[in-house]
Amino acid sequence: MKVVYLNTQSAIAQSQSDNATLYHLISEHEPALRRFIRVRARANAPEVEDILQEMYTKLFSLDELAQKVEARQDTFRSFLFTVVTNLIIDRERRAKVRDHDAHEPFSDTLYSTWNNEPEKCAGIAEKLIEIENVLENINPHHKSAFVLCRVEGKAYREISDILGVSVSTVEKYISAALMAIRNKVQD
Amino acid sequence: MATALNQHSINKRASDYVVRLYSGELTAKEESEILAWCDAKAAHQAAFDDALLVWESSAHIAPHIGWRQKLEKRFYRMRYLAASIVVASFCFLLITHHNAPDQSIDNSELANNYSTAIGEVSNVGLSDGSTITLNTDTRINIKFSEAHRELWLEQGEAFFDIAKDRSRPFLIHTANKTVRVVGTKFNIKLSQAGFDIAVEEGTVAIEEKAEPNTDKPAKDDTQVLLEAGAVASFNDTSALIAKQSVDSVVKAQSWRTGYLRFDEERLEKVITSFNRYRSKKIVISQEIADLRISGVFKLSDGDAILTALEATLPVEIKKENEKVKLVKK
Repeated sequence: MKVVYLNTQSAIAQSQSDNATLYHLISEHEPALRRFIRVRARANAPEVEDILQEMYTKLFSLDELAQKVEARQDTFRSFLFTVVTNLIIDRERRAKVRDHDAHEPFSDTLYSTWNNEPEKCAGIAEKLIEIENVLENINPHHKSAFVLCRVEGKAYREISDILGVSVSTVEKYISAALMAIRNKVQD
Repeated sequence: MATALNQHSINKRASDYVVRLYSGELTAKEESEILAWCDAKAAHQAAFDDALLVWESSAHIAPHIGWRQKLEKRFYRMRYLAASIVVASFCFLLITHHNAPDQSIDNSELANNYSTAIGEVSNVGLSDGSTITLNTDTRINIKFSEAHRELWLEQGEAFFDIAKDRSRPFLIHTANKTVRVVGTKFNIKLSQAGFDIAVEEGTVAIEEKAEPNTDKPAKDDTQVLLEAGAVASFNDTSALIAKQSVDSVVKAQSWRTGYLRFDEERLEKVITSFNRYRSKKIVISQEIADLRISGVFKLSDGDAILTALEATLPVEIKKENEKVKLVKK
């Protein structure tokens, strides 16, 4: 297609415009990400900016980010939340700000999943099997919602379409499943 | 017992909060509510942290084959049920609200056609929250699926106010191009050779029309991105793009409000615009084609434009059976 630009409409090269579009796509989620970081990491304003900056660095260091974004467009938002969550967990591990005494039991083993420490894999696998067992025995609606969300990575709205219930009901189902796991798997 | 109950309600609230947090749509009010709750008691913060932990680690559960099958079976049943309800309610809508303006429809798996008669401007509200305004003598076809929201602009002009849904891009197909958007406002008017597009808000991408029945774009994968304020004209092989202010783009879409607005416009162009809304066309003689006119005209007023022209310009109206002639006085 022959394209003629009459005036100032940016005639940027395709690769640059790819990055610009990508940046635009990501920055659209910034307000939500900021709020998420404030609550999830109890971060103050400069820390929030740090984490966002890290996120951009991380994203743009990925090979062929554009293709990745295209491929997972359906879960792009939750992908961003996952990236940020992992960055926060890394920071927490580095800074050791967590209060170890309060919740020793399942935290250290599970958080190390992201670092693939082989000696801890057995412990993690055990916990995950426990979670699966709990899911087998709870209300099937709660289980479906939870699995779709956490395993399949679907957004609440998509789950609401699939299960044919409202988004707030989806949230209730997921929360109920989360609590059931929390109650059975603790310690 | 009292403490167990208490712990139960704390855990429940912690779970609810984590689920809200990961919705990605936390409001400012919820943010301060959660932070205040966590700060109130050490037990609250501990419960919240535990819920986060369960949440974040559960991403590592392997998709269980047995689950998948059971889940999928359920979905298909659900979907079947949902589809029947949709069909039923759609038939009902067709019977009760045929061609009514501002109708709202559910259309998960169905194709829908909408059209306007000459002189009619009509709004169509879609199940995803998008609104399409059809200008005179326009025909569209809509089909929503899980992966895409698709619309075929078959004839005429429409203004699109597309609701944001990153997971389901909105594709608008014209004869030879596809316009891809996520959430934005813009106008498309089909022309003889292609179409004109004006972007009021957000960004739109125009690409070659994909081959039917494939997800892949056509082999010429040039994509043209237009931002708010851009006005462009596309035909089969080329694109002409100009940047205007968002304000002027908005003004150009005054038809949506039932008015046409002109600013020192050539009479010939004004009449061409009006004729799109008239079944009884106005014909002007060449000698008055270059006269200039400004003003706001109501579309539904029929012959009010003629009265206005006669009053302000040196022209005379001759009404005939099939058309209205405008000549020099």
